[in-house]
Amino acid sequence: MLLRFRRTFALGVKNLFLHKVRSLLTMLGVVFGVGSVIAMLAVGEGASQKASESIARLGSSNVILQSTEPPVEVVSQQQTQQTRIPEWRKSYGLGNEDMQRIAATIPNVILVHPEAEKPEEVTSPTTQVRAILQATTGDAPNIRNLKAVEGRFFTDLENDRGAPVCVLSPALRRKLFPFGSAIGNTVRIQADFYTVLGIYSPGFAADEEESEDGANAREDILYLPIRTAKTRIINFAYSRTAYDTLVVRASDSDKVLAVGAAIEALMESTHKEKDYRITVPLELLAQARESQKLFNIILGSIAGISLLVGGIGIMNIMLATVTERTREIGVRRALGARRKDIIIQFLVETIVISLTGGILGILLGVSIPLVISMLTNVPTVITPISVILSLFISLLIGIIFGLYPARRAASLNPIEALRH
Amino acid sequence: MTTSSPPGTKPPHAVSQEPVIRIRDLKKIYRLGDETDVAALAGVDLDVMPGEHLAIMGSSGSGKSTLLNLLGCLDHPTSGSYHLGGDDVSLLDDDALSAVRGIRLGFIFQSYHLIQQLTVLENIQMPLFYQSNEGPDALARCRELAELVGLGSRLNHRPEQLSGGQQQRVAIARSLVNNPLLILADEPTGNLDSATESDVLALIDCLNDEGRTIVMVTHDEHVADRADRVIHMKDGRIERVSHNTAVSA
Repeated sequence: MLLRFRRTFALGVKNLFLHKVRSLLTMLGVVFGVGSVIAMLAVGEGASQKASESIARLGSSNVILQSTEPPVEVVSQQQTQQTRIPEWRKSYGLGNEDMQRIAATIPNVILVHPEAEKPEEVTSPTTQVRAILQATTGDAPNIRNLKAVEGRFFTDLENDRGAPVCVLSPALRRKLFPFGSAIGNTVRIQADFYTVLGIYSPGFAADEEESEDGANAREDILYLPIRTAKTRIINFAYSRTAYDTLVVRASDSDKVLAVGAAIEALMESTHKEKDYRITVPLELLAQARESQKLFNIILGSIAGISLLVGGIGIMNIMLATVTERTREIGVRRALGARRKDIIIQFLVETIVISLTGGILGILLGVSIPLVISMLTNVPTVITPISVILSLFISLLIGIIFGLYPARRAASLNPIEALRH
Repeated sequence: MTTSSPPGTKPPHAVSQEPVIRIRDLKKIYRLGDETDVAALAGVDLDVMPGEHLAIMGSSGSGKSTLLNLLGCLDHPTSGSYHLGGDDVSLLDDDALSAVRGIRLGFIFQSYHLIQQLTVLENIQMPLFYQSNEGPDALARCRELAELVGLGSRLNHRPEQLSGGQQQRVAIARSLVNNPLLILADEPTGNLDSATESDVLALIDCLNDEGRTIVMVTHDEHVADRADRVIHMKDGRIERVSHNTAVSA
């Protein structure tokens, strides 16, 4: 039986080689169908992984509040003269009272982590760099997924004391202290000196967060205790917003959506204007997954249609082949072939066509994303499952679209077929 | 599934005095349109004994092709019985008939009917392929038969590379490969010139001399003269039977 199958298979391959051009053209539909499935899925998967990564960096059990400028209200002329507070005196956004309210009233909140940031000149013994001062607490490495490169981060105790200490990002460290060690040295910001405690990496790649005003400006970050910043640095002390960001950590990622909703309600009731923005990374992740699913369905249907067309092409050719080989079928039947044997013979031929097309399609589908990644910056990820799936689908196409021509061949009356 | 015992692989010569073919009142009626029945075969009785060489003659439309198709298990009779080697095959289903063809029958066709994309050796092997009999013994037998028909040096040629006579000899080798009970030949020399015709006929005579049972359809008197017995058909019936006493020996 096995030998017979091998012979049938060999015969199928032989028949295909007998009509090389025809077989190749027949395959083409499946080749492009499978190729496009794999290429599209690779591009989609790359985009999705990139999105998931950047969202996951925000923390899956975090709720992030950000200060935003309140919307400009359209006010009448009279009102403007009477009640309008001059722009420069008006403060907005997140304040200390928000932080305390959230920590005190919302269940399942572990901690509320404040952040504020300002650009400022930082001077080392050798040079001066415009960096972003990130005023935060000792929880920052944990909350923001900072990676320790060297030394240590400042502690909550140092924050409470308002100690003059700071931590540098690797990029800033290279600029400020191109030679020798940074740790233990001091940098100057405005009138005060700050001891460098450590080097911590913000944990994102250089190309990902480019600001508008220059390449990799986001990389030059100086972390310092928020109390220190508020008391010593003028920009922070007179800022119209107390905090730029509050990161609220829930006890569990299951609870984060409820915490987010509670915070939203609380903020709505306490802020007259909408001068804040609430982001739940987990929600974003869910949304990203949802839209990815939709994207995949669309890609899948496009690829499905092209595979369907490919399959119909195969069926078309096989029907023509059956007609062409009617006499051969008659001879085989006369010599003892059962209907089943004829079905198997033709089915094997279509499967060989579709499977070969599938394999060529996989080669095509794997090389397209490589070229895309090489030429552009679009990340692509080829998942093994898409390759296995394509192989399986092309096998299925061979069976489905081969069955009708094969059955037709087998149903031929041997006498009629011999007379053909 | 079947009413008779499944056909075995009895060697043809071991069959005693039982006829190879026994048909009784065999009819094949085609229905054309609503009420018009055409009897291609209107009741035929025939016994063929082992080792006999029978020729069937008749004009076109006489029913000789229909009879041959029924004898070849390629078609079902409308009524009547057909015993092949003692087993009733008139009621077998399609798969069983395929098995009967593959095991008990050998076919020789007018236009050879070789499979173009296969070599001589593979063509000879074809009936064994469907019986899953492809061991080294089978291959040796195929070579032997190719040798017998004089094509031992052309095993790997394709049919298109052979002359008509050579192709028909391949077909004869193919008809012998399963050691059949009965060889059916449908105008085996119809496409050949007279020189190759006598060649092929001599080969067939040779098989008959070895004791093989042969039923041959022909409309050529000279060809029919070589048979032991000739039945003449007309309008779906056996019109006349003639015995050739002076068999070409």
